[in-house]
Amino acid sequence: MKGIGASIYREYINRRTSPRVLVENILNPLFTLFIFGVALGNAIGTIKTSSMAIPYITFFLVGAINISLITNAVVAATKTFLDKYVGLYEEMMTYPVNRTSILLGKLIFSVIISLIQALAMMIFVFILFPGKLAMSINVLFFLLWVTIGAMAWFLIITYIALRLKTQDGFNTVYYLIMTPLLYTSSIYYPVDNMPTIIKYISVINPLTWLTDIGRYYLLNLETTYLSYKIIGLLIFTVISFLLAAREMNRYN
Amino acid sequence: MIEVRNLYKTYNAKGKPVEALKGVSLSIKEGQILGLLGPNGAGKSTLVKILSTIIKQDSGEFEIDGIAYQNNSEAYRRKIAVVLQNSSLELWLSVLENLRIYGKFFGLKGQALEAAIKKVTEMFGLTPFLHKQARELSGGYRKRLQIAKTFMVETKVLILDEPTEGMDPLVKNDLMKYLRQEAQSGRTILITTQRIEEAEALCDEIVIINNGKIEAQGSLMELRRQTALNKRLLLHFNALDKHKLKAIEDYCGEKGLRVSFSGSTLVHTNDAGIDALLEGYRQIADRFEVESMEILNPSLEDMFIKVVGGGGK
Repeated sequence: MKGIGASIYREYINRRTSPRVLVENILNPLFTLFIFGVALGNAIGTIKTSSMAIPYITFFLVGAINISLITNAVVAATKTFLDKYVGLYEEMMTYPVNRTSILLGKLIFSVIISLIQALAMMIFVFILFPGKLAMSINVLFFLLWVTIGAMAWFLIITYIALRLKTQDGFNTVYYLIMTPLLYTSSIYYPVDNMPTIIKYISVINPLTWLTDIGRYYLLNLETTYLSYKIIGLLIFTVISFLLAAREMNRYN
Repeated sequence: MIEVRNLYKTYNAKGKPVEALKGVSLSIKEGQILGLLGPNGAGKSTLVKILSTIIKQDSGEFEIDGIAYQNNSEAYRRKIAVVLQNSSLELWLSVLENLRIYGKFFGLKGQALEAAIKKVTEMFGLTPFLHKQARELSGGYRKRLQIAKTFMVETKVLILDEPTEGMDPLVKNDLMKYLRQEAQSGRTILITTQRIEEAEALCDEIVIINNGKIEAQGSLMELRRQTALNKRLLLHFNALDKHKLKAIEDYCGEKGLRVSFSGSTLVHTNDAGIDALLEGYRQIADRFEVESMEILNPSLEDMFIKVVGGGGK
C-alpha cells in the first residue's frame, strides 16, 4: 500500500506542476472530438445501422474517448523514458516497496485522469451538441467501461515502454503497431462497409472490442460477437497486467 | 553486516560477452566505511547495482544482516539507501517535492517527513533552494540533493556510487564529515570512487577492484603489506645546481643507492627496510648539505598504481 500511495502522489505532483497537463489531458481530446465530430460529421452526416441512425458526433464520441485513453497511456510511457534517462527508474528499483505497487500507483492515477477526460468529453458533447446524446446513459457502466479501457491501454503500452531501452525504439514500435490497429478498428467509422480483409482484422483488434462494447452499452448500437469482445478485452487486460508487472519486477 | 560471496556477472556487449565481475567476495562490518576503488570499467558500478538490486548476478550470493535478496526482496531493500551515478532527480519538481516523494516511498509521512526534510536541507545547505526546481540547481547542488535524500531515511546501509563527482571541495569535506558521523552512529557505508585521496581520508577499509576481480583488500596498513611497497626517504636540498646534482648521482651510484630527483628533492627507496634507508640518508647527509628529511609511507595512490598497473598479486 505504501508503494501505491507514494506512486500516486508522485504522479500527481508531476502532472500538477506540468503545464502540458491541460493541453494533453483536457484540450487535446476535446479538440479531436470537436474537429472530427464537426468536420467528419458534416461530411458523413448520420451513421445508419439496420435498426437506427445516429449523428456522427455521437458515434465518434466513444471512439474519441478510446483515443484519449491511448494518449494517456502514451504520456505515461514517455515519462517512463524520462525516468530511465535521468536514472530515476533505477533508483526506484531500490526503494523498499513492492515494485508492482509502483506500477499500480501509476495505473490508478492514469485511470483517474482518463475518467476525468471521458466525463469532460461527455459534458462537451452534451453542451455543444444538445440533443445529440439523447439516450439514457448508465453512469456506472460508463465508468466501468472507461476504467477497463484505460487499464488495458496503460498496461500494454507501459509494458512496451518498460521492455524497450530508448524512446526512439518505443516510437517506432508504437507507430508500427498502433497506426494499423487504429485504422482497422471501428473508432472512426463502422467496419461493416470495409473490405473483407479489414473486417477480419478488425474482429481481432482490441481497439474494436472496446469501441464496440462502449457503443453497444452507451448508444444501444448493435454489434456482433459482443460476449466474445467482452471476454477478449478482459483477457487482454489481464495479460497486459501480467506482462507489465513481470517487466517491472524483472532484473537481469 | 554485508556479505558478498563469489559474485559473477557477464554482460552481452554487441554480441560479445564481457565479464564484469569474476568471483567477487567481500565482507563489510557494521558501522564500517568501505571504499571500492578502481579504474573505469573495473566492475565497481556493476557490483553496486547488484547490491542495490538493480541488476541480477549470474551466480553468487549477497546478504545484509543475514537477509538475502532472493529470500525477501522488500526486507533487503528496507536496509539500503542508494545514491547512483546518474542525477536521479525529478528535474521539473522543486527540491521540497523531490524530498517529499523520496520520503513517502520510504514510509515517512506527516511530521516525521517534514522533520526529516528540515534536517537534511539544513545539513546540505539546501534551505534557500527549497522551492527551486531541481533543473535550476547547479551540478554540485543537484548532487547534494541526491545525497540529502538518503540522509532522510534511517536505513542500515548506505550505498554511494561516486557521490562526490562535481562537488566543490568544501561540500566534499562536509559530506565526508557527515558520512563519518553516520558510520559512527552504526550505519554501514559502501562508497565507490576514483579519487584515491578521498578513499584514503574516509574509508576504514579499501577494496581495489580491476577487471572484475578484487586485487587487494584491507585497511591502509594491510594494503601496504599486501602490495609490499617500501617506504621512501625524501631529502630536501636548499639549492641543487647541476654540478651538485651530478655529484650526488655519482656518489649514490658508487654506493649502490637507488635514488631519483623531483626538483631539489632526492627520493631514495630501498627494499631492505627503514634501517637501510636511514643508513642511506646518513651517507648522503654526511657528504652533502641536506636541509630536511622525510620518511614517507607508500600512499594509497602508490598501491593503486602498483595493483592496477599490473604489478599486483
